[in-house]
Parts: sequence; C-alpha cells; structure tokens
Amino acid sequence: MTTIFSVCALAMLCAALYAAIRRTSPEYALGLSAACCALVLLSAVKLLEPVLSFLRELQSLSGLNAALMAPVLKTVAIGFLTQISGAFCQDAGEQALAKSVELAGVFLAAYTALPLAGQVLELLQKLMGG
Amino acid sequence: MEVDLIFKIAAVGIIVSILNQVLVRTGREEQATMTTLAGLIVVLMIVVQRIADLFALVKTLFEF
Repeated sequence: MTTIFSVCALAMLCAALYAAIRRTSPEYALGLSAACCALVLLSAVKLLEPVLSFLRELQSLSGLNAALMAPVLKTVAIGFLTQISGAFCQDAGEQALAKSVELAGVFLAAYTALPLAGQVLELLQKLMGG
Repeated sequence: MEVDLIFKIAAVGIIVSILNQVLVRTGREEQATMTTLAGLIVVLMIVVQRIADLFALVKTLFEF
C-alpha cells in the first residue's frame, strides 16, 4: 500500500521539476521524465510477481500446457513495453517513431501468438476429421 | 525508491543551463555546446541504467 503513496509523490515531484526545467533545458526534462517512469514502473512491476505466480498455479491446477501460457505472457509484456516506449517517443515530439514502435509491437504480438493460432487450426482440423 | 536520482537529474539540468547561459554570454558558444552535450550524456547514462533494469525485470517476470 505504501507503494502507491510513494509512486504518487514521486510522480508529482517529477512533474514539478519537469515544469521547472522544461523551458531552459528540454532535453534534461525528457531524461527526468524517463527516469521517473523507470523508477515508478520498477516498483510497480515487482508487484506483478505474486499475480503471475498465482496464474502459474492456476495453470498447473487446470493441467494446461506451459507452452500455451507462454505466448500470452509474452504478448502482455510486448504490449506493456511498446506502450511505454511509444508514449516516451510522443513526449519527445516524435509521432512517427511512436507509431512505428506501436506497429512493431502489433506485428511482434501477432508473431508471438502464431503458435497458438496454429494449434487452434490443428484442433479444428482434428474435430472436423480432416 | 531512489528519489535522489530525480533530484540529481534536475540538478544537472539546472547547472548545465546556467553554465550554458554564462558561456554563451561570454562568447564561448562551442564550449557551451560541449557542456550541454556532456551533461546530456551523464543524464542518459543514469537513465539508461534504470531503463535496462526495468527491461531486465520484465524479461524475467514474463519469461522471455
């Protein structure tokens, strides 16, 4: 619970400092915002560990193959990283870079989910007796 | 959480902008540019370490 207080305080502090140095040195303001994002996410993402271990427990209870779960987790990570990187590029005023990163994320997610789609197709073929 | 990191980056930004203005007023534009560049590299070194930590954490958590 203390994490949310420290995250909010850090974000507000960073916003105040950002406003202070934005006009005189915009490149440092960008670095400041990147460092703040990294710190906030480092403390927040660590809390995902119990959630993911619970997911793994559910997977082992249901008898689901680990190979089926891996693409889902990878897609989540790809979405998370591309969103953050895209937002950072947008902050720097590079819309084209942000869109490229997002598009790359979409392509990578599709590529990661391809084995799952292949297995669904296989299952459908088996069900239809083909 | 390392709040001192944020203060460090903001302090570097303020100091470099002051140095930049002083150097520009005294007619040393080249040195002002080099100072800005050096400060930026220092800040980027700090930021890149944290971002690398974040990426490594995501990598281990999501089993890449």
